[in-house]
Amino acid sequence: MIELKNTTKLYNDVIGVNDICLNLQAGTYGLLGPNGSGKTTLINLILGQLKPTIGSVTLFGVNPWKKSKLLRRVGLCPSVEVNYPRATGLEWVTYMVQLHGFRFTAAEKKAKEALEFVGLTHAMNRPMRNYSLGMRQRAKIGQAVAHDPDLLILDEPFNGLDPIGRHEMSDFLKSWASQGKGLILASHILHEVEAINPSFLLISGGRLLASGSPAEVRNILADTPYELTMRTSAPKQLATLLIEHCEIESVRFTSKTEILFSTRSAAQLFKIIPELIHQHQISITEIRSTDDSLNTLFSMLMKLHRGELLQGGRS
Amino acid sequence: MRNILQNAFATCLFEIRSSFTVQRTSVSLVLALFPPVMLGLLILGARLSRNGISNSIFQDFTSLLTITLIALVSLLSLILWTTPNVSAELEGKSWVFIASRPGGRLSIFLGKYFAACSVSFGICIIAISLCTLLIDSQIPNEDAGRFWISLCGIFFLACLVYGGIFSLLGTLFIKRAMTFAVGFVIGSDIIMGSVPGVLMNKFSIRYHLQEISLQWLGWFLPGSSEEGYRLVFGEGYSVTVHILIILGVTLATLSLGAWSIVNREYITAHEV
Repeated sequence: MIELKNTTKLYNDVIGVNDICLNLQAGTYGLLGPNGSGKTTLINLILGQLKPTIGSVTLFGVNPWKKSKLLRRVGLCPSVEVNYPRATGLEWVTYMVQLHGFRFTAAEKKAKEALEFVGLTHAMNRPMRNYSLGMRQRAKIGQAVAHDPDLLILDEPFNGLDPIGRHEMSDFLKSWASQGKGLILASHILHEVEAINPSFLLISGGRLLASGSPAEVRNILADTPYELTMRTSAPKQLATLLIEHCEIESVRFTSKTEILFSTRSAAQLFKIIPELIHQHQISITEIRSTDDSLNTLFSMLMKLHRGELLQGGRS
Repeated sequence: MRNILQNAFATCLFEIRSSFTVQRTSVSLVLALFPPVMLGLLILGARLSRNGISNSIFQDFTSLLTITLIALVSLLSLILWTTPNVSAELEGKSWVFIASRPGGRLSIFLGKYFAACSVSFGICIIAISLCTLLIDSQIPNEDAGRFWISLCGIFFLACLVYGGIFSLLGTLFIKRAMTFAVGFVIGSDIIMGSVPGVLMNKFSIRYHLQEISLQWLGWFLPGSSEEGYRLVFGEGYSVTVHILIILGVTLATLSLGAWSIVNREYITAHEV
């Protein structure tokens, strides 16, 4: 489906992506990386919006920079906001479908179907300036899927969505993936992508640091310290119990009721917590994961990449 | 080709529909009403002064003023509509949605060009109609209909050719397209077009439009003669040749602009 051969993209003296080699067959992929890691540049290279400085890119076996016709097979939901305040959702999506070569009547029919698919039928005749962030996000998804593409590319689709919206987005992506069509999901939040169960592409500093199945990435994650903040009425008791029963790297009391744990065995920790609070009648009011785990993972991968860290261990 | 034109037409309609905000409509109205209001003030001034200007001079002078004022507003309208053809999409972050469609770049280029020409020519028609009515109300003239049709034809050609040039500048100079467009008008049409050289001024658009005007409207410049004009600017070609030159320049600039927009990388700030 997508092939990149030693692809490098330079913006003058800034590196967008750096010597990436990829061969992706049709399937679901999670493109993970911190902000500014080169995800959008990689997507734009795949779509032929940018020309590689070095190397080559092919999409469905064709150079996308030269053959824009193949974009008919791709649906893109970019991370940027829709900026047509006066247009209604239906007008905008119809126009977007028309640009795929459909006549107005056919485009409007497809737009209505897509907006129904994303649950926006009730608001499709309202100007988009009155849409909430979640509704605009749905309209963006609508314009990406309306022409029934073979490959759907979503850049940070969870941005700005509330918990219900995130859940609905996950459900939608799962149903799309189950149709056997191509899906690339770019995000900087690991657990959101993980819910779709894709193959991972981990990118940072413009480099592809690792790729593989969820199991393979979990193996990498297994060595990554995982930080968890808990709010409880008995912080000292809980800390003692967790240290006794689990491999805890460090414990820090951040306030009278809050403790920050760092562990390399997150799975073990999650398994033991319910048992301990049940046995010892400890009340936990909040469990919060700092999303630093992903940053830690990338930092570790960068060190591995530079040879500063031995695989599976510490430096 | 059919697809490209179909998409360009869709873009033109979407552009016109979504651009008609109160602010833009007000600007267009001000531009359309500026020539008749100025002309009205001039006529009022002339009537009040009672200097006994002859009808012929009065008509020639008001006709000349009409052309100058409409030329000014049509150029302004075209600059406002065409030069931000790429920069507005990049700044509004809508570029990525359009560029990720097959032929999307061409559609936005041609669609915005058509929208700019339609709106600007619309402004011209309103201004020409009001000015013609105003002149005719002062000195009834049986040639008023011919004057109206000729001016509409001249400004139609002007919108086509200047729209093409400014659209090209919009694809080449993303950040300073308006400045370059104003620079072009001053450099090419005001300075180069006025240089009394037989060859040099022929490279300006103004020369060809001026020649068409002279042949369609006849000589009406007050206080001068066509012989004197010919001495400075040389003999012109037939109207057909001038129209073909204008259409040729339009086609060339549109082709260059289309080539540029398709083959150029437009990088948005958030990518770097």
